[in-house]
Amino acid sequence: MAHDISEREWLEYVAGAASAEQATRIQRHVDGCPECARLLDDLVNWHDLLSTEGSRLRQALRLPEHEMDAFIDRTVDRIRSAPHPELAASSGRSPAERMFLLRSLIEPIFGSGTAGAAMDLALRRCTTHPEGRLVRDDWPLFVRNLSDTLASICGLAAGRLVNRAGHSLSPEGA
Amino acid sequence: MRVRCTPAMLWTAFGFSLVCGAVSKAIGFAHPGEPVTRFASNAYGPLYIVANAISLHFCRRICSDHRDRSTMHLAWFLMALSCAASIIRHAFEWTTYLLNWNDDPLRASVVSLRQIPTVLAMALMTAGLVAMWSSFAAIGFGMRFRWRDALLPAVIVGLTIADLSYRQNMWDVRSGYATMRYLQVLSPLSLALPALLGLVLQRIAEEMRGGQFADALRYLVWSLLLRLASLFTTFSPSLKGVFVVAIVGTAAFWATPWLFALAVLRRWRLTESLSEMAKLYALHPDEQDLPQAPRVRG
Repeated sequence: MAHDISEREWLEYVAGAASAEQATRIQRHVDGCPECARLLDDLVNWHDLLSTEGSRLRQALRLPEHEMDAFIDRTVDRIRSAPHPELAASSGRSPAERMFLLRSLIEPIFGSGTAGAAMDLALRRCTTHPEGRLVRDDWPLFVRNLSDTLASICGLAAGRLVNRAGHSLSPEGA
Repeated sequence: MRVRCTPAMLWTAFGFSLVCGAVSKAIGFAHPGEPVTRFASNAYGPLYIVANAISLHFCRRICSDHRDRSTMHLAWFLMALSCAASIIRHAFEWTTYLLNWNDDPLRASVVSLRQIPTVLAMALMTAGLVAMWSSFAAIGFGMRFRWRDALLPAVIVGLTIADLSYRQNMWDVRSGYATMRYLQVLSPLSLALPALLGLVLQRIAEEMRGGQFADALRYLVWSLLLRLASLFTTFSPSLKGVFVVAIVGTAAFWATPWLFALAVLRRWRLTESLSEMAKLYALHPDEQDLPQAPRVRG
């Protein structure tokens, strides 16, 4: 990552797990660098969102400890691999962020393969973007199609959950 | 008082059935032909009835969580019917045992009619599994196979051919009704088809890459495979005389329906979990429209 601050250091800093020396160095750099200040804002935003969704998930699912660890590992890996420009350019929750959060919710229940296949299908059915990307206006239709796809194999309870969670992630429903 | 069925209860019943099955076979070896042996070898009936009643209950509840005309609704409906047919079969068998009809000429007539619910149960199970496969195929699952996926089907086909060759050892091949004789001879096939479809479900569970849904599917697969394997040890003349194999095979035969009940319960608990999670989110204004076909832009 740019400006001599590694992804790991950013994550530790946002989670409050950085050493005092590291935290001082990052804070000093952020104070003088508008680009990193924006990135820090986005990362803090992500961290808060994930904490909220994570606690909702834990309340409802009561996963065994090892499964929860694996889930958290996957989530952190995905944050690390998220493209920096997209993060830095986002204001509020972009469709990509919302997809990520929705995927984080459904993956432990239906598996990563099912989540991926259902999201791809829902995306193909709703996007008008030439490269198949989800734009802001497509979000309600995407949620609707994802909900229908999962309901067809996992039942109406699954569809209802995705519908409600997807709606709560949209700007209108938040 | 309502009793909530838990996986721990079903595992306990599974273990109990394993032990009872092993003991019944051991009694058979120790006291061949005696009344106690006949009782021991028929005592699985009530356990099968209870296990199938539990499966029927949860299949119906899962069925009601799917849209009325969806393929998955049909799949769980057919599986519920299969459980009902199994209950009829075992209730009929248990009744004929209690009435002592297995020892007189009725065995070749009335008793052999059990082949009707037996084959019906397996046919309904096969149809249910095909419907389930078809539903998963809509999102691209269960359509791609690897060479190593052919190994287990080859084993199943081999076991089925072997079972067919032992048809003279089957109970109802001397039935007075030709149809019952044919149905009895076909019984290994009626077990092999669900087992083969179970392997497709295993592939689907792999493609799901984790999650609670895949776990439920795996239990279903294991129950189907165990049923076929236990039948093989029961029919094979070379195996049923081997003490350890006969004990293990009979124990597995007794315990199989509990594994199926566990699969169905796990699937139902997933629905319960999802409903609980959905309550954490605000009601969506379009939710009453949920039972509709997916929409496509443009």
